Amino acid sequence: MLSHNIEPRLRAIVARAALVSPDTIGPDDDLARAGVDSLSMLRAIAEVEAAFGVEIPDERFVCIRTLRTLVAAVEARLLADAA
Amino acid sequence: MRIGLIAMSGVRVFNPELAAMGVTLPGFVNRGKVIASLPSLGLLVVAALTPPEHEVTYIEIPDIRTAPELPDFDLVGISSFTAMAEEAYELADRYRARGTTVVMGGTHATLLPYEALEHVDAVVSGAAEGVWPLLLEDAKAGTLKQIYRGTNRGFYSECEPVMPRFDLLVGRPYNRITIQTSRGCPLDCEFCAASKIFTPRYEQKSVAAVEREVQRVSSLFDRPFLEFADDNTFVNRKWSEDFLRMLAPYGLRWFTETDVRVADHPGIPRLLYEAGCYQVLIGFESPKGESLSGIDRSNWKSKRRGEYLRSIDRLQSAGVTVNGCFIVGLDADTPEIFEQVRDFVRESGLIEVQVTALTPFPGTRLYDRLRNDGRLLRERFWERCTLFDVNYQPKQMTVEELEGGLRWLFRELYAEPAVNARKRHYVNLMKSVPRTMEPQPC
Repeated sequence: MLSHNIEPRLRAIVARAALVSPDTIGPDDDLARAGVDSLSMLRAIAEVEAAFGVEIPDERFVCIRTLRTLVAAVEARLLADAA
Repeated sequence: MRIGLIAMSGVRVFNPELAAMGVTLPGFVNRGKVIASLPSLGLLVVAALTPPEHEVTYIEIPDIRTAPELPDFDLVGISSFTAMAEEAYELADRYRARGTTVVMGGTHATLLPYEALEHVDAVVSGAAEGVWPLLLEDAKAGTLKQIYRGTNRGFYSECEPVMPRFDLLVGRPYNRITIQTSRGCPLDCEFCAASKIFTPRYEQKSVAAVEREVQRVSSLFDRPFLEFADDNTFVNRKWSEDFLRMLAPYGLRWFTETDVRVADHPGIPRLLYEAGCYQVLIGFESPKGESLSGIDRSNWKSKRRGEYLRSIDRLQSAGVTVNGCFIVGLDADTPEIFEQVRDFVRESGLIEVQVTALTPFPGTRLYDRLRNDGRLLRERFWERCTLFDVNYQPKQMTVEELEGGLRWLFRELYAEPAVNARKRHYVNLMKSVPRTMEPQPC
């Protein structure tokens, strides 16, 4: 439910950070192969954290390889903060 | 003629302990992968200089020992870096054994043309501009000379810069496409061959000429990540501002190498970010002022030491990451240097860092000095000119101390916790970069 709401927003943020089209990023696509290099990914994380008011743990954000894992990481933080 | 232009690609480490360690450290592996996958811009220029009557093929050989069967050509041109020189010679020997004409160029053959001539038919010493078409005519006529000395000045001022054959890279999996905006470096550091091999003067293309290459690359590749293959891009402030303003509308991401003056003018870091610059690599060389003394002819780096922290902060606060490069084993370095580098990296908040051992490349002033002082460990050590292997007797520590200290520093800087801490620092920095500065895709 939650992921359905946040996925388009996260996709837009990642695409903007990497200067790629959002259409080129599927939920399970390898982000690096989709043109999202490591620094772009970190820029996206910064924007995601600022936009959602969360801080994704370091050990988790360095392992994000797909949009789905990014969604899961943000969801986990939002749920933890809400609890 | 069927002409094969062959690049020996990849990164080399001779010391097995360092090599084994390198593949386990994420910070080390990542930059190694980038370097290993860069195309040879020099050979793309050579391809562009080749008259259309010839058929040109560009290939890369990461490892001569595991290379598949070599394709047939009438003439091969091999590019040479010192660390891969012995492999390049082996490749040349194999081609010559088949009766193929072999020509070698690049840094190593330029520095040691007579050594290269033991394995090849001809050497292009210096840049290929001005001699490559002539060499091909001679090869066709059977009158090949041994040494062709290329242009070493006026590359960009006396004629239109050559448009490299970027089209030869289409369809291949490069992370980055290289474009050159300048040759040489005004600093003339003792350990660097760049200032003397290809040009004794710093030469820069016009912004319009660079833009033509950016347009060409953008027409061939989808949103390419550019690496400006310069030794020092931002030397001239006016040129820098014009260049960055030209680049911004293209919405590209890019990386380049420069010196610390890039942060001198408060407006430049912002322009860098808005133009899509992701990272500048800066040779700080050492955090220790005494070690910087005498590195370059005018002691420029030593005089600039006091500005290092402020410059890094200016760039990174604008969203441009700095890849700080340090050399260990300089003459004033004692065994404390390893901790000093580690501490400086932490204090500065550098997002990326590269540490290398002082390396006496043949042809440099450093090589001549160490040789005259009897401090070179071996007579011929090209396969160890990797930037990670020690080839000389350090002044204030033993060889073992330098090797051990380098390994210790690698673990301190490139192990996962350190790399992750730098990534977190970057994420936090980026949160404070104003959104109005965000580069826009075209």
